[in-house]
Amino acid sequence: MTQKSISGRDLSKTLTSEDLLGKDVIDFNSTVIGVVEKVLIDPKTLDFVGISIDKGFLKKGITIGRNYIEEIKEHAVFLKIRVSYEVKGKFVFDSEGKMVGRVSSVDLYENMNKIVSLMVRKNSLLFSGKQMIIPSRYIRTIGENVMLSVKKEDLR
Amino acid sequence: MEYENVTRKEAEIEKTINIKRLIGKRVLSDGGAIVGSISEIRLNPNGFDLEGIVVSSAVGAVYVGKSYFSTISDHSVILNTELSLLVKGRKVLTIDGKTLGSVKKVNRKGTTNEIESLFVGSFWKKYLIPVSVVKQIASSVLIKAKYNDAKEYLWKRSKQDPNV
Repeated sequence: MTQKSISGRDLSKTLTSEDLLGKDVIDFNSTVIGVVEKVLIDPKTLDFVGISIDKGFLKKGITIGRNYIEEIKEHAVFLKIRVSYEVKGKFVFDSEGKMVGRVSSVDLYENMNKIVSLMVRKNSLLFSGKQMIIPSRYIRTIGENVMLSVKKEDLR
Repeated sequence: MEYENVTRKEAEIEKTINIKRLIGKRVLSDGGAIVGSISEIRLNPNGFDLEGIVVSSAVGAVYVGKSYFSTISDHSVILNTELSLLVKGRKVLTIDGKTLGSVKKVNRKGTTNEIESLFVGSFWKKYLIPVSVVKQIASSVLIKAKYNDAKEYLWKRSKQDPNV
């Protein structure tokens, strides 16, 4: 059934919240982050400001600003970034391939997607409570895991 | 341990790596993926150079030539690439975000690490995806085309790989 419109413009090509909700969210690295849970709208300007992502059972959700959205496609929402929070839980290796530990938390620059430092829990069972802060300048690549550009000994 | 040196122009012993200690050590890809552990180290009998290593990995034993090495240390071997064989099992998505299935087989150019095509399968459909339509290989494989035509695939499958 066609609806009547009083918008003064053609709204036939716009998206509705139903088009977005439940869609997969895929980051720059082709990782499926989760599904769109909420559409966020600024109460003053009424502009679309971002989406809230449900990452699954017992996982903390995440909010992504509109500027980080690349495209909204038929089956998924594509992001133009690799979500820095996704580094959490990855292993960290030094420049010689020695394991440094596992990322326990990520410190971002002013709520943006830029990593300031990683909090890494040491892998040894004996020192399982010990954590170290690794500044972003020591990160060489982030892929399946995190590779550093320095030796483990030089981190102290 | 103190050594007597019997060398001409070879590197000092402190600058070499004890192969025995490398066995069982981790092999990492360029992006930090754990490829497996070193099970063998292969030398060329002509010239005695290191030619490659055999890695025990999730996809079985893989012989990796030294041209794919980036770093060798006492702790690991780091490759200068992502091992294409490990793409097996990854999710395949179309450009509009639809899930096609997962990679069942990786076809490579000869024995190199370069991918020629991917066999992708879901519960009821299978596709042969040439690497030319692959946009990105990362956590998942993203392809440029939409790939809905099952008939095209069946024809390709019978011609190119009857075993799949």
